[in-house]
Amino acid sequence: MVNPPSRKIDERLYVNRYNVHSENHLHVDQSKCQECRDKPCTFSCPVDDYVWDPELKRLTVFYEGCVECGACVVVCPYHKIALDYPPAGRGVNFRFG
Amino acid sequence: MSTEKFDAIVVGAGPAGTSAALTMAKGGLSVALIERGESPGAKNVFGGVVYKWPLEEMIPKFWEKAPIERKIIDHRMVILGKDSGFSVSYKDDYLGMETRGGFTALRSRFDPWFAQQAEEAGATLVTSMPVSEVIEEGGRVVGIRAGRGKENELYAQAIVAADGVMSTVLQKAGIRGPPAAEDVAIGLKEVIELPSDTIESRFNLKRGYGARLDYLGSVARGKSGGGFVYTNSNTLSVGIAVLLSHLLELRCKPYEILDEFKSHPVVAPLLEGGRVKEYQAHLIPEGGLQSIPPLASRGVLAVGDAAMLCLYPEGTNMAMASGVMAGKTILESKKTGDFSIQRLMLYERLMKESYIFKEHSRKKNYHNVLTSGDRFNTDYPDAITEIMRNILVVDGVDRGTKHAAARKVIRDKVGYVRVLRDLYRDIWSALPW
Repeated sequence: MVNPPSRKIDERLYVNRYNVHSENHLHVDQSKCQECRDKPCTFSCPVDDYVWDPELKRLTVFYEGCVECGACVVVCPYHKIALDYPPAGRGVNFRFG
Repeated sequence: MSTEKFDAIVVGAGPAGTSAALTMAKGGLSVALIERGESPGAKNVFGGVVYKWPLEEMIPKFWEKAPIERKIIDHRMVILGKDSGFSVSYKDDYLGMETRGGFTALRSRFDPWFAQQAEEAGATLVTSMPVSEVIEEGGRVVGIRAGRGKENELYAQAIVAADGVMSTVLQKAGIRGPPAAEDVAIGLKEVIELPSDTIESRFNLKRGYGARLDYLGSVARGKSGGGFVYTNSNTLSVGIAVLLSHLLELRCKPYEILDEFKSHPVVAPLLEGGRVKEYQAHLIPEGGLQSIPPLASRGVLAVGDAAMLCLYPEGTNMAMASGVMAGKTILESKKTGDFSIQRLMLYERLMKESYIFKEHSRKKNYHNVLTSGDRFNTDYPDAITEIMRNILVVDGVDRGTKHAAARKVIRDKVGYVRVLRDLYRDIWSALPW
């Protein structure tokens, strides 16, 4: 089994409780990503879900840590991100909130 | 539960939705309260303060049974400079009686308790059910489709959209789109554990009582933002909020601003030794009056964050109050058997006469101040720091000379005319009190 890449944000997220769904609920149409200058999704997301791969010229979406805030939907200048909430109790489950 | 029909469907079991459901259930209506989290509060985030009004009108003497963290008796407002803080505090045991000064709460405990009150009144609570579509008929929304695969459909005479700032119901019904970046702040919060004794000694509190500290000024690198530290029983709610459009200008990660806030010399000692138990984020409506969508449209009543009703520092009370009014409106419709779109407009009329709109109208300049009020985040905090440092260091220079220097700082940094104009108008939009 290959370990998923370790990211700095993981240290922050390990305290949270997730019931991760097998399917990605963040739908990104990447047709505009290359020409997108600032790529605001890559820095606005509070859990670093969006990482731009300059070699593959693609976004990698780490939906597992998503806290379902919706910032990515709001900041995408091309309105190409849709947040489709995870089904039946999946996703983040705040223990304190 | 396929194709069931209720008098009303409430989407979202937060403060707004539960208030609506409770109001209607008490009036004898059949109400479905739909929540996408596995329990109410599981998907919710807020700063941490709930107010006495209008909760008390729904649940008399709620403070005897609600899961309250601490009753707030100390309200502190701190204007942060880069390394300094200028505080104003009001502390009064009177505020702690019957939670007059509000109380801190945690969503995952408060929301299930609140939703349970609606259930006991007769509402049907359904959890783990995200709404995926609205069902439309003859120009109005008549039901919702929830879940995937099973395609459960629920129908009702009226729909209450209490599904938060990113409201699926309002978006699917075409009533509004996602909010604009200048109309929302991104809020980040950590729940930090400390022994209750430590909290009480550190914040100078009696057992069971609490303090709320609201930070303004230099929180978000000169952009519009604020911070807070609220005391819970054995945790602190520590967070920041920054206008999303300003975050785009800063091009930094929002948690960098949270980390800067937590390590600010005025804030850090309060958190020392604490263990982070949870990291949360949420969007906060900050658009003020001009961002409020049609409140009653196409058979849908918008309440709480879905209706963009937050107004710093209040939110839960406005959510609850709007929920109550939506509930009363639908009760009226039930009485007369008239659920027409026209009849549901009563909600908008009630809202326009209410505390909520009075406050939003009073702070109608709020959004302007947020988007263009750099002086509140830079000029004033800098001026306060410079003046206070100069005045409080006794170094043989007489106070007359120092006061003259202070006047010069105000003149150079902001200008007398602008100070007067701000005192007359904008400051009242920027301050929490």
